[in-house]
Amino acid sequence: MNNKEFLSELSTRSGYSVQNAQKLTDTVIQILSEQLCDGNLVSVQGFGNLEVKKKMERVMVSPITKKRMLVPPKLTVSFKPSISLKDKLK
Amino acid sequence: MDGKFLLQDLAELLAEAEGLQKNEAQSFVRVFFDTITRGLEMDKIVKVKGLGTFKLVDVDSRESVNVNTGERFLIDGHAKITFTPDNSLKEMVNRPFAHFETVVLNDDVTDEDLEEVDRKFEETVPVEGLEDFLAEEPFIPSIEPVVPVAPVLPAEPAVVAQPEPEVEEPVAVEEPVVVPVTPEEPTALAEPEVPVAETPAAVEIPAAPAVEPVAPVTEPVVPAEPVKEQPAPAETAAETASSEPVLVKLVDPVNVNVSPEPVEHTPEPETETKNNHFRNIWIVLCIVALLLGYLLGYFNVFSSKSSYRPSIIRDTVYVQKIVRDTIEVEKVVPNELITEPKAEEPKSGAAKTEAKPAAKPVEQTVDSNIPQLKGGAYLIVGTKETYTLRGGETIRIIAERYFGSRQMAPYIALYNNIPNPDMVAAGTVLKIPELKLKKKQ
Repeated sequence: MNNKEFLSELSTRSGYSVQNAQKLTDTVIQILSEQLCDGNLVSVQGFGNLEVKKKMERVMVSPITKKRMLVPPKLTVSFKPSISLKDKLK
Repeated sequence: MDGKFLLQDLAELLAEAEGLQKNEAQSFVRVFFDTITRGLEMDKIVKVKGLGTFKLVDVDSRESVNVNTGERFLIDGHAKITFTPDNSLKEMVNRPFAHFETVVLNDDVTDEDLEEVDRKFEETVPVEGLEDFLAEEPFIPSIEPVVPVAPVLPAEPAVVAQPEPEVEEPVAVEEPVVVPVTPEEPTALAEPEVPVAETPAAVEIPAAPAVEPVAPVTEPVVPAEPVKEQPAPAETAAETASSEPVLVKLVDPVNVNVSPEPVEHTPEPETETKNNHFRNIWIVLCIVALLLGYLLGYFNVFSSKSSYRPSIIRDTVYVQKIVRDTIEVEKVVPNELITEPKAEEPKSGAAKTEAKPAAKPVEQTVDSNIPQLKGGAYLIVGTKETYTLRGGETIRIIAERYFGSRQMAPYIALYNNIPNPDMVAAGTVLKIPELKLKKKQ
């Protein structure tokens, strides 16, 4: 399911037009990313938690050049599905 | 920070932003996440622009062992939900760390270097203190110790080069001092002959050169020292020097009228200009002291680092060829390394000889100063003998030779206080520990 299919599905289910659904989706995502940037844990019942996690720096060996590289630390979004979602999709 | 942001809050914000009713917004958000779930059920993959990709990944069944009972059991194959954030979201979230770049590590960088950097990194940055961290940005400077050879050495020639001009300086300073005196002497000699009216003129002439010699002094100072303060005092010195002749001029006629005559004012400018030069010398001395302090601190850091450096000489040889100074520095350091254990040896050796006869009859009277391997089967009782490590030998090999097993290497490493048994310099004097089985029964 790509973005287009997702939006059409969302519009039929929510009753908004595709354009409106798109607009609302954008806003939702914007709010979500703002919250994540602030370091908040976004918890959605029945779906899961979205959280920003810090990945420590690490040393890796480039498979091409065989050189050791120091990969800097970074922040990523991690998703932890809720148990109910897990059970649903098993 | 780190608060929980619930679906309700999300709906509220959405309603605010889009001018919807609260319950409308809430139902939309519910449907939003429901649709993602539905999509996962249907296609096993959902791509949402701006957020990311949710994907179902099948995990094969695998065997595992029950931790408590040790029984083997089968974990069923199941679907795992993965989430890959969209690039835009990734970048947005990672913005605090965006200035970091992947760095190629040099060959001579060991894990210990990295650990050390880590330690410093953690000391300076509390894990959660992202904002402080951003303000400080200590990471990039902290990486420099990781590649210590390159950044550190260029500083050295600079330091070495500096003392030389400094040594010359005092000479340069003294010379002008002598110069202004001599032109004045002839005037002093001339004065008794020449009538009173001419003396101020005579004084004026030497006064001008007296100012000039000061100026050349400031010149050598400026290129030698990059310190900005230096020119300023020199200038003031020049100023005071230039003001002096004025004083002399004013005083002179009076002096001449009274009669003790030039003898008095000739030493005067001399001592005062000398004072100025003394001030210069003092400033130079202060800077030299500062540099020395810097050097000492630098060597402290360097020598503590170089404890394992020599062992990687193989790798760093090319670096040494490029920069000659490294060799000198590294030569010095191993010597220190060797001398240190030597200095300790007699003490521990003496302690050993004394302790040993006592230890034999009485069981396990072990010197509490000797570090013991935790969980090891043997106790370190004392020093058996010393051994100078040759090239190509490792502690493991030595352990095999003395104790018949390479697994005894940790005892040697511990006894010699070597953090990494794989990185020991050739020429290191090792104390081979005398071992004793812990429990006889």
